[in-house]
Amino acid sequence: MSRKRVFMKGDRSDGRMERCPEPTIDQLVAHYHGDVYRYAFRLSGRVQDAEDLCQQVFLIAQQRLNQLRDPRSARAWLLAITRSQYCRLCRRKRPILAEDSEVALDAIAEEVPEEIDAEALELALASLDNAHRTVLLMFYIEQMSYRSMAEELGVPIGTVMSRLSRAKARLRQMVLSSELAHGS
Amino acid sequence: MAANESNEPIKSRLDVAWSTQMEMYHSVEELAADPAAAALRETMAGREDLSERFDCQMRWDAMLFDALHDVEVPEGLAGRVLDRLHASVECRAAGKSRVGVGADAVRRSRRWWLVATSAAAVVGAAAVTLRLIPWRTDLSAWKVGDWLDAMERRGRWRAHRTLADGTRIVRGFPIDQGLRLTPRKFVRGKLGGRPAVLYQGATASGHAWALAVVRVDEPLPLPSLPPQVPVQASSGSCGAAWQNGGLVYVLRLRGTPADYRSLVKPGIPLA
Repeated sequence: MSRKRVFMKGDRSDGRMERCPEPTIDQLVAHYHGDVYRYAFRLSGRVQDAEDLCQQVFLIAQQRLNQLRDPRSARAWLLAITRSQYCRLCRRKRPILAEDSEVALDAIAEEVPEEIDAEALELALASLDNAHRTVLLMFYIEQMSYRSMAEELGVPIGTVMSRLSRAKARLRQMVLSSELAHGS
Repeated sequence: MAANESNEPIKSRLDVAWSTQMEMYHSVEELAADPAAAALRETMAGREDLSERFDCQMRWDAMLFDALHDVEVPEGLAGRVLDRLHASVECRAAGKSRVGVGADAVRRSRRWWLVATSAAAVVGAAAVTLRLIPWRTDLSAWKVGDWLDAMERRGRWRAHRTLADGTRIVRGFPIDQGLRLTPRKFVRGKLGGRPAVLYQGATASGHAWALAVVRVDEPLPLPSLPPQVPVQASSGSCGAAWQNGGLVYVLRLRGTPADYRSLVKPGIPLA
């Protein structure tokens, strides 16, 4: 248990708003539009949808700015709005698939690629249903714990664990397949 | 040996369970801090393969973390977001003001719709009743009703001033001497491109009235004095139109013809 942490950037707060006890919406846009857009893009998979979603998120944030009590949690707050807005949009279009995808828990590949092909990553994300993709992005982008995810999504912890491990396995599998295909 | 073989499926399932649980953690610290991971930590301490798997998973996670965050943000996005936010604020502000003014405007509009339609009808009815030649200046074409409505909404109403002798007038737009009206307020404007004043007030018995006074130099086929009998009467309102000198008057009263007659001074010939 002496390994150093590898990728987590600490807790979910960040210091960008430390000097702004009462951040304005303009400050939030200036500091976090990139984070919100990236998340929106990973959720939706489309540039235009991501920008629309981004606009929508800040419109909502503007209306609910008084709900942001701790400016250090501004990023997490905005990302949560992004996710909930995306889920709402998805519910309008079609129901979120909640069943487990047919992804087997494979033995994790020991060879970690030096670089991940962006296209392969997008395809892999697109191949996941909303439920799995959402959990995956909550883990990587929102950096939420599995308990928080379960609370947020209103599902049992076991469901989160199952979805997350399968989604990660699927992602690794597809990225690796792409690497192998390019290599050969 | 046989016992080991029979335990394989159980061991395999347990490994899947451990792997699944390991996937939940972003870091070693997180794993170390989770009370629910005590059994996993204990198992990992005695199993090199599980520890290696966790190491490998961490490397994958680091790669995927970077790859997932590697998204090019469109140029000018922040500006576009801010533009829309500011536009939305302006829209809301306009909306609020519309709502605030709107409720009032709706009430006034309803009230004045009656005034307007009645006034227009009065003018029209006057033409029909009097069976006169076509007007050289068609009052109905001035859209008296619309004008009254617009004046009510946009007009800068002023309290009617009282002259030293007690006469209440707006210079150049006197209230016809044949009427008993005491205006409360007035608004200036133009009707059909002609200077006009709209007076408002109420009778002693509380009946609201409106009188439009429009400067029209050319003679129109209208009576020259306020009719003693309203030219037009409908449910709850009545009115008349006439021309006196260079001014056209259109009067509308919320009340009965009897109420109307009380506004007209006696001795005035019947229309």
